[in-house]
Amino acid sequence: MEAPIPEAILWDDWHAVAELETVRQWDQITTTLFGRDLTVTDAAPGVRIAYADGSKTLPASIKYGLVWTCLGTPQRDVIDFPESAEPDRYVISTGSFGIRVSGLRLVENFLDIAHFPYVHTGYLGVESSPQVLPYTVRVTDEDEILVTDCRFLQPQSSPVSTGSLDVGYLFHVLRPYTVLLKKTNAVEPDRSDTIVLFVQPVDEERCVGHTLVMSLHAGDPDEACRWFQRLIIGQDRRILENQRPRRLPLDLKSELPVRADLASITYRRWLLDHGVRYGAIAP
Amino acid sequence: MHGTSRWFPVIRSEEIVPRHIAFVQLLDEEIVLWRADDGALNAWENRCPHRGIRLSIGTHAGSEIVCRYHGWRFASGSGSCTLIPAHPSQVPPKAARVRSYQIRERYGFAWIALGDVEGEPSLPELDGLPHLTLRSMTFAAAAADVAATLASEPGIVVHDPYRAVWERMGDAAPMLLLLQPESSAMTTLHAVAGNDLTGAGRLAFLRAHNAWCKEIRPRIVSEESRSAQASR
Amino acid sequence: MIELYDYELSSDAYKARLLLALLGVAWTQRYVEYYPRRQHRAPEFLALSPRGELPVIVDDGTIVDDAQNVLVHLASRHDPTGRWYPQNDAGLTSQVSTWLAFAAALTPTASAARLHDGLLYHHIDVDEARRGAHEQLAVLDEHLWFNEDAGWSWLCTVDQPTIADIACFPDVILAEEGGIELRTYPAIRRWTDRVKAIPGFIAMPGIFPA
Ligand SMILES: N[C@@H](CCC(=O)N[C@@H](CS)C(=O)NCC(=O)O)C(=O)O
Ligand code: FES
Ligand SMILES: [Fe+2]
Repeated sequence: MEAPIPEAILWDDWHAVAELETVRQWDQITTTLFGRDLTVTDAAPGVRIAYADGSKTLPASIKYGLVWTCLGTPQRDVIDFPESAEPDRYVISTGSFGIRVSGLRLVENFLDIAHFPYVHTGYLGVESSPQVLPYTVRVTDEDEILVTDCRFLQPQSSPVSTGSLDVGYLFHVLRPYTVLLKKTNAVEPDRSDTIVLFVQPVDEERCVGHTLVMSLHAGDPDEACRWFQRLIIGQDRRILENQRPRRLPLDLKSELPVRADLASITYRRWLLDHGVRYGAIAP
Repeated sequence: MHGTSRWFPVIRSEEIVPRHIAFVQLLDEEIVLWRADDGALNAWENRCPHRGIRLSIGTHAGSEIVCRYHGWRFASGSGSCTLIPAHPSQVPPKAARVRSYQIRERYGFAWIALGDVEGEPSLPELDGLPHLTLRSMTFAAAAADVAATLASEPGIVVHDPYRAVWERMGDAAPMLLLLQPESSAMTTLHAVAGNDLTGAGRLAFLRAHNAWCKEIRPRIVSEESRSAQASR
Repeated sequence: MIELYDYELSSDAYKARLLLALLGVAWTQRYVEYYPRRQHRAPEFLALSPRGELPVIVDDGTIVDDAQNVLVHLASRHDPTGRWYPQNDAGLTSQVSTWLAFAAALTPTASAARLHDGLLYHHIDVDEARRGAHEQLAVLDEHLWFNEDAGWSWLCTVDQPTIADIACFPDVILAEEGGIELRTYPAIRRWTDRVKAIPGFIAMPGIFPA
């Protein structure tokens, strides 16, 4: 049976489907996007992407160390981040990880600071300080979600930090499956590091999270930064795979939000308003 | 699936050990069972009302279960939330409550009824007899398929879709075989015998039953459905 | 000083970290990025250990590889009580060996399924890996059930955990990350609780603390 075709906002967009380095290592890998099996083949300097049954070659693009494709007709480019051009930053993909949950649930997890003390204990939060202070959420003129004024006490906010830090966070949902955060750099407190999460919807109940880090050199050495990101996503993964239902309910009454969930509620509403149903449970 | 208005055994009582969160499934519902330190037994839906995390990965804090994701705490008995750590001074809303199921302990098992049920769990064949519970075994098959295999075994009389009696030759006491339908493709077989064997005799009896369960397995479960289970 | 060639998501490397923590032995970490960079197959690492697998320890100049062998080494060399690897009772030593072998056999099954699902090892036959894991878990659950019934809490018939438990625990509890649910193995779930309750236990991503 042919997998369902998702809404145009998803189908006609670019999605990260592999790390370039992995494709180069194996010459060819297989992956799945919207329930369709794909092969990604090394064709240096580029890559070739096609349906695994050979029926069609797909557009391929390489950016940020990731390989991108679009199953429909691309209506816009892969997102551009101005800070990726700043000379004193690393721009690195820190690994791609499969998670058996809807990609929308992964985005929501990324927007959630209330879980830090319990899931990332000793790194992004401490159990003795779980309180979430009021923060601001708005939908911008560009129709993106912006979460500001988030502060959180973190024991080890990054691999280089040596003590706990009251860290300021900003979250930004750019597209249904793309979200970034900016957080106070542990060495230069008036600048921030950017972490972007690109979610690959494997199907409605499985996804791959691709993480891009754009940190100041003044902060983490590359290796430690990669280690830290894997540690954090490794902790989230086990939680997310135990979430039921695996799809994200858009009916705001089917799960019980509190004030700390304002970002999550806004995201669910925004998905609803944009007609996103893939990986969701419609109300 | 029918069967919501009856009691099903879901686990041997002694397997609900202190500070452990046992995890079972009945008629597609995932359920956690846990004993508070004061002895009260809880059977809850395996799902945190906040963001849907399974409570089977939570922690048992004595008289509460703590959810792994955001640390909400739920009290033994009511299932009501006692603390939302993100907002420690806020009184948790009434709706912040885990759904609980009716539960009984009898004949060495914990029994659950998902819906309205009349009466108590009862195994009249064992009344007045001691009971020895045996190792339960899960099969990748519908309860009806397990029951059909049981019915073809000499000495076993299937009484209803979920219950059979084994009049064992040479054994004075009967053995009850009880089916727990986990889903339409998975069934757990519980067993309790009306004897009070001890020592080596008891162990030999447990081992023999365990061996018998493994022996009938291939007759119930086809290779295909087993690999289907493995890939789920 | 012990150097451990380590990767934080490796179940085998975690065996070494866990035993080191339980023994209270100090060590230093050498990163080997197993995924995605595959540094365990890079020439520098192969020069140290031609097998190209994690973990490897260098203990006072001695290079020790193979996860189970690392446990044997650490317990033999750094456990003055001798309880983690009992060697003065031949029957018990042999039980430990049996379960070390069982642990090694989880690599192509439970562990492979986890690599497939989590680290995107696309070339693994995940159905076959899961089928094999279920067969092994059924054996383990039965063993633990009868041990419990006889009053033993651990894999071996001794009243304290051994390196057999440390060797088997990681791939068993992480099997769920390979789509292998432990719900139908209740004796295994109780045993994993007991392992987590061992004083000095440490967690890793994918394994919650007690
Ligand atoms: N790569 C992981 C984690 C990325 C990440 O860093 N996520 C959240 C935690 S869910 C975060 O806020 N990290 C903050 C940080 O690194 O400070 C993911 O995809 O969820
Ligand atoms: S999901 Fe349980 S506390 Fe948030
Ligand atoms: Fe997280």
